[in-house]
Amino acid sequence: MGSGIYGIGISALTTAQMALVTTDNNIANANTPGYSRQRTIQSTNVSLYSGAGSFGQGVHVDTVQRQYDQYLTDQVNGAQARVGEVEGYYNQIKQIDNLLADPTAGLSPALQDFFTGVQAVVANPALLSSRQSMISGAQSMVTRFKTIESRLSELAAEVNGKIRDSVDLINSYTSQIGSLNQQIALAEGAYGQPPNDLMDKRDALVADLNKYIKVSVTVDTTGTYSLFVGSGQQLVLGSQVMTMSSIASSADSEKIAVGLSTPGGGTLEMPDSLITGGQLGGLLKFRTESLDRATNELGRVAATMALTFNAQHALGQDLLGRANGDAGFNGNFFQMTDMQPGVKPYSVNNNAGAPVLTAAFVNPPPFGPQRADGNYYTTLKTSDYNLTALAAPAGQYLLVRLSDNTQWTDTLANLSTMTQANEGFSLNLAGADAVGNSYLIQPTRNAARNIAVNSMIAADPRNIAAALPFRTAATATNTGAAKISAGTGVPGFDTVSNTTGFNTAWLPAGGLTMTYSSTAPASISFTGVAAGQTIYYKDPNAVPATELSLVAPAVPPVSIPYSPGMIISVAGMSFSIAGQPNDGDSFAVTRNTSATTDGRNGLSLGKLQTQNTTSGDPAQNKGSATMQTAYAEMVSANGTKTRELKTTFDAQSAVLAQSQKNRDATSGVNLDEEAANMIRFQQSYQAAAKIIQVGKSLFDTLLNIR
Amino acid sequence: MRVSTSQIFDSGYRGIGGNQFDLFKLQNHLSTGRRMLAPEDDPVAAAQALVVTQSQSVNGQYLANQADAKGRLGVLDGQLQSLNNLLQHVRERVVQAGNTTLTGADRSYIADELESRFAELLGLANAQDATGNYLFSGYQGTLKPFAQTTTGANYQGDDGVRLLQVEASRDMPTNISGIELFTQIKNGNATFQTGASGNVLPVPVPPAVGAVNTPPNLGTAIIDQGSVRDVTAWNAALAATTALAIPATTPQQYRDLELRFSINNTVTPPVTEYNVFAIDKVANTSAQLNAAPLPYTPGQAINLSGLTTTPADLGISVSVSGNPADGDSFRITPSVNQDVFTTLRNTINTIRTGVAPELNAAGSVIGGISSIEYSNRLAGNLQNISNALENVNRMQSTVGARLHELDALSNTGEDKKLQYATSLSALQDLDYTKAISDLTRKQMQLEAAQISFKQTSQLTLFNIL
Repeated sequence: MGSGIYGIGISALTTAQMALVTTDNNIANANTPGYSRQRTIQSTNVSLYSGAGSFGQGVHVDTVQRQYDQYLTDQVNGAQARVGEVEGYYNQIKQIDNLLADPTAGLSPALQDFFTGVQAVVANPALLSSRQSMISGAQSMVTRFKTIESRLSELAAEVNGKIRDSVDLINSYTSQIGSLNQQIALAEGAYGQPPNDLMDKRDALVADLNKYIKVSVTVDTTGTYSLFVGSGQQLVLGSQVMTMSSIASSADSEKIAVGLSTPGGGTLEMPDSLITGGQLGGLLKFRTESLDRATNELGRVAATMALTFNAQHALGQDLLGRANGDAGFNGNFFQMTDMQPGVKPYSVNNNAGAPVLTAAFVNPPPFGPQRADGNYYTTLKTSDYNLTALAAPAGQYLLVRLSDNTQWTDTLANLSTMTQANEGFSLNLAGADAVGNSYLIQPTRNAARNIAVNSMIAADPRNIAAALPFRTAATATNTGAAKISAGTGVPGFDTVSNTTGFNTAWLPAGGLTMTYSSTAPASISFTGVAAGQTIYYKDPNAVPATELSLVAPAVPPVSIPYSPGMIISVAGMSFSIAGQPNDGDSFAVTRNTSATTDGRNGLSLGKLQTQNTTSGDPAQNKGSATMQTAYAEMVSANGTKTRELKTTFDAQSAVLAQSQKNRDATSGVNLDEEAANMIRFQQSYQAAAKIIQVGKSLFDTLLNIR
Repeated sequence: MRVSTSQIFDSGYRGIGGNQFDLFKLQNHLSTGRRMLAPEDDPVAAAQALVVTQSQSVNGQYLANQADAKGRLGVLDGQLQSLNNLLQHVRERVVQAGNTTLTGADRSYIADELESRFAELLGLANAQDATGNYLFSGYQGTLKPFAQTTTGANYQGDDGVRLLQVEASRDMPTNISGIELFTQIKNGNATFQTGASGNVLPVPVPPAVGAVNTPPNLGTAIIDQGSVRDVTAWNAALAATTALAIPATTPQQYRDLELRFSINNTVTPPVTEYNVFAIDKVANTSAQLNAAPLPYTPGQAINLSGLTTTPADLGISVSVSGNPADGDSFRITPSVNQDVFTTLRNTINTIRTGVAPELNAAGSVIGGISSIEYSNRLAGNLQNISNALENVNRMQSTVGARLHELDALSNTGEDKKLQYATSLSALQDLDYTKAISDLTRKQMQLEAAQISFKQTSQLTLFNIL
């Protein structure tokens, strides 16, 4: 019995001691992140069976149990991944938001100052100082475009850098998890007891990993973790770890994409859509959804400005009296050579036939349907495009607009015709293409970076074409009361060459003369119009007021019916004749020589500020938004997304806090609880010590029997 | 339900941290006075603010253009007023020169003064603005518009209109071209011009273009400026080739009507009669339009109707007073444009020619025409000067109307400016009352969080054990 007492006493003592040690450990690790509190699990020793009953033999500690709930931990990890993604996205988009926030540093004031300069030239076309102020306004606008775009490029570089850093961190975490898997398996195999500290460490690593990328965890029977990313790509399988790498994307070499090594060796580029959750997912989403779009939208404003301004400018005449068709005339106000749409062939393309795909902006179409209706507009969109050579049907391509996934399949020539009409650019292939080759087309990506003022015009402000190349006059000997308007420049009508501008070749040296004849039906006959030129005329008072046309025959007379107030457009010029002329009255249209105080083209250029020049609809022949409105939409879309992310971030943070609270409810250390446990186990220890003392005194009693 | 110790501290801190951040943001709002620190705070309002700012800037541009246009039109108005004054003065002098009691010397003084007035007129026409561009030369601002010639002045500019955009859909002309102001002045009564055309006896010789019969009228008849009774009939008569028997190839300004007076001695007492002829100055032909000679009554209106033309009524009437000699004729010519310089030159020439015998200062004869002829010509010149003055008045009222319109536009523009500023303020400016009350509330929240944290964090069993 004595040994029973001692034995039980010692078992109680060691059990209480172990419990105390565990409690001490809990208290010591109360602030350790990722620590799950531990508890000793004790159970009774096997009883001694005798005739008098079964006598317990004391207590022993089965194991030290980690208070841990896999389900709660998974919840926390999931919330952590979502928070990481939203936070990563938000931190980046906030920078764009801040960039666009300051009303004085944004694009709007630069646009407005430029057009103020244009109006100064209209008011005083002969003053070189007004012209110089317009050029200065243009240059500061160009600089502003470049500044904003360079900030966006910096963000793109920052995203690339952060992707690299995230990938490196992920790799270090996964390698540590892999080695821990091995250690845990060994430890458990060696001792048969769970290695609590190692497991805590592994869970902490998984939690940290979720901050960067969402991983799903499966636990097998041996307690080894397997981690999967994306749609099931394995990251860690036991002790086998796949490394992630940051590689240049095959579609766009300027972008860093994530690659995953495969079990068979080699690296697989993971599409951006498969990487979700965590900072990495947030960064990739930001890049695809917000950054690229913002750069494209800014580029679209720049491209529209350059294209429409150039088109209108080319219709004018500079201070030296030169117009389109004269040597030395500079039709383009903005330099377009580097602004053309970018085409990036995929790095995996088969270049055996040396295929070269190029894209170019189309000339902006004029408002319509009548000639004299107004300025120009563009049909450019803010999306990138993907072009792939198909295997079947042979010789055809698949064009995908990436913003809304609209697809077209056709031959390249037909696709180019469609894009010229509806998307604002043309496609051209040189060399032989191979099946499966893909190209990324970015129409407006480079526009804001490369917009520049034509150096010839910047050097000499007299090259600004503020005047029109023609002027109208009523003959001095007219006896009637008809008046001819000053006239505006409109796109030319030469069907042989491109219909984009007035050409001095169409206005003969003597000019055009229009003579009125009252012999019924009243008509106007032209002299000086080249055969084959089309004359367009419209009576605005007719119902419906349609534009009619006449192709000038080689043999005169070239005549059209007269209606008071009619609008006539011919050879790039448009004017109206109002009132009632007398028989034989005539009007002349001649070259505008020595025109130093004519600002009519400048007036049309100034109107570009308030006309709908972007988001054109070819079916309606007009745009639907001004450049300023397009920019405001960009600011608003970005701001809305930022706000949405902020709200989501707050909500997800609350969810994360809640799940952490739930987990801590199970796994967290409560110092008061540990204090109470300490008291309890201390008393157990004291009681157990007392047992031994009693046992000792019993033995002493036995020994003292004489 | 358990709660871990770190949870207590974490949630305590989270509350304090959140409140601190909110307080900091509010303080930022208050110190900048902006409701939106970044578009994120209110994206829709941020976009709207951008659009309103552009409208504001465009409106400001229009206001500036309006002020510019007003300035230019004001300068123009001043010039027109000077022109008005000058022509009125000239008219007074011409009336004075028609006084029959003047001597040749008096007339030469008047002619000298009119000569200096001519130079003044030329100077007004060639005026420049502040930047050195000529006001009246159309698009060719560096080109002097009028160059003096022997018969008047030549216009070398063009008909260009200098436009400024003063409203979204209004381009305002800020100049008047020299053609319109100085040259597009119809002579005569603006439909036709009358004048003596000389005595046709013994044999009427069809004259060349612009010339009149010689010798001059011998009688004492004077023709007035005439009036138009039916302008449609007159236009139809001028246009139809059958009416005046003039082919269509002859332009309208070369189709004249001539009244030839003759004394019919076959009756007693002798009756003065007249016939109406159509003159083709290009082909040098004349054709009689009336069937029988018409009787002449001095001072009575001669309606050119009842002729053999189709239509029979030409739609005009003139009145001749006085006694024409046998063979005297008067010409009715469709009005053409005559510039004011030519008119003034003609006036000066008429006055210098003087009344026969015109004597120079030394007393020798230097020319002169009959007093009746002199009066006729001076009357014609006076009419043309009045026409020029009328044109200037018309231009002045056009400029006045434009200035008036600019005033109205400026008023609207200023109103809009205020409206835009108000909208922008509503979008961007902070509501201080709300912000300050929010600040107080957040402060209280933060203090509560801090105090409660202090109290709960001190409760631990280890203090008691």
